[in-house]
Amino acid sequence: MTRGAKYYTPRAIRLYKDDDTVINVADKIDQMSSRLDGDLTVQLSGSIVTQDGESLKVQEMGREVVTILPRTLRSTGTYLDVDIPRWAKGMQVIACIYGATGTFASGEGINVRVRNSLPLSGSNALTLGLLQDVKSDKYTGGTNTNTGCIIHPDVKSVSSTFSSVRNFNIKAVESLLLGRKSRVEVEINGTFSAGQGFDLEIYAVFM
Amino acid sequence: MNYEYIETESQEVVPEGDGWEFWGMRITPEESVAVWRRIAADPVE
Repeated sequence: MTRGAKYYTPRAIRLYKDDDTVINVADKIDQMSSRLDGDLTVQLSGSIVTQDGESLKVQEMGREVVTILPRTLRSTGTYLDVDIPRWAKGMQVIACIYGATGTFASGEGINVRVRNSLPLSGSNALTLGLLQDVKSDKYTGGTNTNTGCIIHPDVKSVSSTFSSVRNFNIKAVESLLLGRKSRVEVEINGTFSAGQGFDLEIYAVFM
Repeated sequence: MNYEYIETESQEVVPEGDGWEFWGMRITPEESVAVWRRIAADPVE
């Protein structure tokens, strides 16, 4: 049987693996959903077989999570330059704060800063190529709280604390243009005794 | 080593449960809390 005939079988979306074995997507979903309650999220990648038997490459347009800073105790700031995937429309940077100690005056604490920029080179690259400079509000954190920034063309600008969820302190901005590089920075100030600070980890989610 | 944390009103108020050690205070213009920590259990797979 030709691939084209199989491809148009009613109710079936069929994928062909390299060894010509067939995966019937509808059947797979039925099998999986029978074991689950609620919504089912399915992600596919590979290629689409056309009527002519040609393969069209499929690129998953999902999400990618990058660890910016592994879990660590910090009392000073740090940064990392991150390459942005070409498919990404937006990004979220989130600092997950497990616990925090120290003494903080007004305006001190922790915030996440994202400088969205073009991939220029040289000492002035971050200034010349800068598209946006986003900072979350200064935050003194607490046990099991988050803070971070969202840059995405489909979100409305907002700066809020969603305490009903998980003390989520977020700064979001609209962006029509996401650059190809971002400097992701955590800024920390306060007075810390030995062994004190923020026990945190930082992630970037590209969308 | 990963820790889990809990807060109490002061260092004199010890949290319930085993293994908590006093880590320090978190003092801001709005509040002053005692922060305790203990080694976190491995997450359930």
